[in-house]
Amino acid sequence: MAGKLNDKLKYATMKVIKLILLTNILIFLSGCNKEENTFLKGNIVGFVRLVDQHGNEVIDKSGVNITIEGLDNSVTSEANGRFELSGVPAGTYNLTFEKTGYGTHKKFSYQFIGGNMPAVLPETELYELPDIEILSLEVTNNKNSITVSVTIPATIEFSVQSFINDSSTVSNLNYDFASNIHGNCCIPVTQFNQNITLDETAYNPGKKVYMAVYFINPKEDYGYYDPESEETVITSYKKASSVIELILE
Amino acid sequence: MRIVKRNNKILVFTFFILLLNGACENKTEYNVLSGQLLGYVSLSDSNYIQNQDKSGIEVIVEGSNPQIKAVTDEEGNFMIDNLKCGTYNLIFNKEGYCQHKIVGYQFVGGSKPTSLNQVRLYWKPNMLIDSLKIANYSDFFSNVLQASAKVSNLPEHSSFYYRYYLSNKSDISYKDYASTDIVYGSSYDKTPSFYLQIDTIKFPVGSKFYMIMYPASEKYQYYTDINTGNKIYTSININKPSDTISSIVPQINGW
Repeated sequence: MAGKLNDKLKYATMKVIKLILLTNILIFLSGCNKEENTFLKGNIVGFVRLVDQHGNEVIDKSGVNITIEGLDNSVTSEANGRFELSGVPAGTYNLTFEKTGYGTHKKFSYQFIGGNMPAVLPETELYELPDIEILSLEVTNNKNSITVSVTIPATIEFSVQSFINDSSTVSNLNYDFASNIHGNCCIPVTQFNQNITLDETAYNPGKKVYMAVYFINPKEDYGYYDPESEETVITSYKKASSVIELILE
Repeated sequence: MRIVKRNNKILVFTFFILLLNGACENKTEYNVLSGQLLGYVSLSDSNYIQNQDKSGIEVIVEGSNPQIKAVTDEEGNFMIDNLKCGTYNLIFNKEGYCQHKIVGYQFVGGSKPTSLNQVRLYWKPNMLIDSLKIANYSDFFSNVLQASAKVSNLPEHSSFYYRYYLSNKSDISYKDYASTDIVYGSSYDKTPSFYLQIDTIKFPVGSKFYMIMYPASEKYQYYTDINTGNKIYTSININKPSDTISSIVPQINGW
């Protein structure tokens, strides 16, 4: 009787063990296969540089937020501008650099391989949005040309851009004509001209057009290339006035 | 009951294997490409003529495990087979030349070889900077300081450089500094004098700053220190610095 019971017990135990071993082997196989197909991972080290609105380098470069589009991976720069993104899987990424008061910079199609040593990004510059007060803004409309007179307080360096379009939605991204003036030092009043030769345009005398005036950080001259919109994006645009309505003469 | 007990032992053993399975996940076998890396290293001597014998330049692949080392042949070529896809630091060494480093080199691999851009090592400059001093600031540009040095052990019929570094901290070196610039030198000038450009954002008026200078054989090559972001210029002799000196940033009066 006791022997039979033992046999039954033995049989049941063996069954359990077999089952455990089987699941064990399955876990073993699936676990290892899954790992074999993972991407190589690694760290990305980079440095940011901050340029204030007068074109000077900012000593404290902390607080820039760096994000990889599509991943939860996000870090903030240290005071010396350093940041390190850890455990990033190999891939091609778009990176975004953000800090309040500065133009947002983007880097497209960064190819990352991963591995034991960190990859190093080229230095990225962020430009402070200009905080220049417009003292007066006057637009005069002569034959075949428009003259814009802007008065600003004395500043070290400045850059002003005006945009014209036949739509009231005119902006730095939506325009037919643009003109830029870049000035240096010590001049308390600046004036610049926006010329439109009507012959070269679809605009006729009597046409209603719209103008918008923007400041740009004077040190930002390239921005970044956005392959999606196929345009070069200047990051530090700051709108200086409301949209001005003009009837061409 | 004894059998059940024995089976318990087997159960324990099975769980032990289960634990090993956990370890398997840590021992990740990445399914990555590997391939061949080809490179060419040249050597530049003090008269700026290329050394014809470019053999024996050591190439270390930092980040490979076990660490890979290659050596160039007479033509300066090196070849590394079966390098795994990954990110590496490449270090180039040869006695009598300045070490150079490429940081964060990303290698993909594949069936065709990858060629590295040409690397050039410059002669190790052995000029001695016996003394260094900062003079009164220049008469013409009041925001520019004038510095001068006494140098010796100059190579003959050659032009070369000195690289100076400025910092707010006394433990200044080629690795830890706030700004740096190059000074031109020649075999015939034993007392070079030059202007120091002071960035008053980094060095406010009235503050103390420190200066150190190294002999240099070239002025552009550097790698980025991934901890500080500083450019580490490589064509200098790190073992032959001047003394560290200090001065005070003068008031800028304009012209």
